[in-house]
Amino acid sequence: MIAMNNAKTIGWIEGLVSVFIFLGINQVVSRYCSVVLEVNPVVYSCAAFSACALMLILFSGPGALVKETIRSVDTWTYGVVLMLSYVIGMILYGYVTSTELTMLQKVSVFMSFAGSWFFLGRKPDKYQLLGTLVITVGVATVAADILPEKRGLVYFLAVLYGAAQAARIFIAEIHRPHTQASTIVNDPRARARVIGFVMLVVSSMFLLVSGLVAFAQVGEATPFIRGFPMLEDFSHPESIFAGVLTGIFLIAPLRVLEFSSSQKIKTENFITILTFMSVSTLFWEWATAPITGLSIKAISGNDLIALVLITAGGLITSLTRKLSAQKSDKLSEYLMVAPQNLELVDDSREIVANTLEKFEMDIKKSAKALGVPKWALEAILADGDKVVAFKNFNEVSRRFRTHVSNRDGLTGLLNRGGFMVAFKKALNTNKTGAVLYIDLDKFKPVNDTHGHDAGDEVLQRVARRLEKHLPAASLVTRMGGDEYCAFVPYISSAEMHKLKTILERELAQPYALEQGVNVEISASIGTAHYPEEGKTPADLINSADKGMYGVKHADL
Amino acid sequence: MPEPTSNRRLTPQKPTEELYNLSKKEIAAFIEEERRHDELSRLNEVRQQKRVWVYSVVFAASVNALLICFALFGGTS
Repeated sequence: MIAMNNAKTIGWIEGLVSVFIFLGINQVVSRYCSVVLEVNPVVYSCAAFSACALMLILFSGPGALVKETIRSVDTWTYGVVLMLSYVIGMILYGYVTSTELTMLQKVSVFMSFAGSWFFLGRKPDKYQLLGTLVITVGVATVAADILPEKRGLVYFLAVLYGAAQAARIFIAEIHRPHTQASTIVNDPRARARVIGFVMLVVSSMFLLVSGLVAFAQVGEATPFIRGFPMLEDFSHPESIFAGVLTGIFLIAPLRVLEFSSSQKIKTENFITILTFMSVSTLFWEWATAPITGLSIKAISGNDLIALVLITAGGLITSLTRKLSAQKSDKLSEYLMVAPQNLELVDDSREIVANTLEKFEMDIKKSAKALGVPKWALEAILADGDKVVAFKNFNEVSRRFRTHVSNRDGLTGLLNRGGFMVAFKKALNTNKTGAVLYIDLDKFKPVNDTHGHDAGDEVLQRVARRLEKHLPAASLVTRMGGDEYCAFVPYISSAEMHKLKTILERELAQPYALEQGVNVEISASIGTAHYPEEGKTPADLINSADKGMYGVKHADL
Repeated sequence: MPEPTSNRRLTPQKPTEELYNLSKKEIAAFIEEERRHDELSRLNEVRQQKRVWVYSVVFAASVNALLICFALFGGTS
């Protein structure tokens, strides 16, 4: 437990360090490289990716998922989108500050939100809707603050950047090695290996293609494919050195810390930390301004309002995601998906169906009887694919036996079968005891006059009064209709008669029913003392039953 | 033995020997052979993973070295 808490603390520290140090510095360095060093975005990105890839591959060591990553077509798509978003970001740094860019890139939240709703049919809950709305207002505030002469290009690039980021999130979901590394293997090294290979593949491909285009452009004054580097850009020392150093000292540690933290504190918690990326970038942009010489005057009051909105919106969405992940964790505490064990699924469903039947479809009572939360039963009922089963089936099955199949659904007392089994067991362990056979008088008129609901309520109230006045160790059952039977262990004959008088008095008290009427009934009680009046359950019950008839006829 | 039905609970599993018409010894030998085969496959996979990793490191290092050479060339010219 202590080791687990330590791991969690380390995970939080890793997450905070990655976002508040590496991510913030990386954003500032990227802008510095773009504006001051005037690096070529493609060459710089390729150098950063290939250096980061080398570091990640060295860190992860040999292992699984390499072949799968290289052979997967999704790797190429994912890599291209990853590289494109990086290159577009580098171009955007020429027009906006690092803080503004981290905020503008949140347009991807709106895009992935809209995309997953309209194309994938994933309906968001109200908190996700609210969070996305707040973020979108924040992004619009930043966008409105861009200088009018730059707006067209910046908006275009920001939308492209957001689309690339959103596409990257979607592709990551379908990229099998990526999903396998983060969910099935759940090993930060496996994730580092997959991303390392993706970066290596895509940086090599980009270098090759842009190199070929550069050769084709030799002799041209301006590149005929806009944005692609010229041949001399490939020997631009600043682009390459800055890229390699960024890859080694910023991007690689950032990714390793991200993977490690996500594994220790779960992805949803890391995403919560990530909502502070704009704050971290603003801090580093402000702190390094004297060294970089980059002005932060462009960060206006509106930008600060946007910063608050975007961070708050991010917190709303990430905390909601965290709550929904917790709910799913809680669900997995009681349930499991068992498509390979259909018998277990069938048995679980049968238990739920029988319990609901017993408690007249009252889901709350059924859940209480089975010792599981209400939503666990709801999840099994909503399972159209028929693959969900109780995780702790033996315990649920035991509860079903003791609290459902042996119980009377109406009163919650033992039913006849359950009573007889418990009664036999009790006779083996107790030397003395008494059986009381109780039959209600004037019960039929209650049903006839006030209806069956009133009759059922009276039967329930009688059960509660019996439980209240009988000693705690007693066994009580409803034998059927308006007849009850109880076995009271360790009781003398004199005490038995005293108890009988108490019960007759208490059961004859008026019953104030929910429908607003008072009804009065009485009870005829026959008794049999063990072992004098019978040695077996059947003898004792017969004897008490005869006694009850004697009392009833004497009253008539 | 009851007739097989679609309900798996009513169709008891046949003993392995009866199912494959083999002796217990033959089945044990077959399992051992399969186990060795699996171990060998795993060993080959680990070797292959190591080989791919070494090639990848060499390749990534070469790409980086090439880029740095270009940068040095650009810096001196």
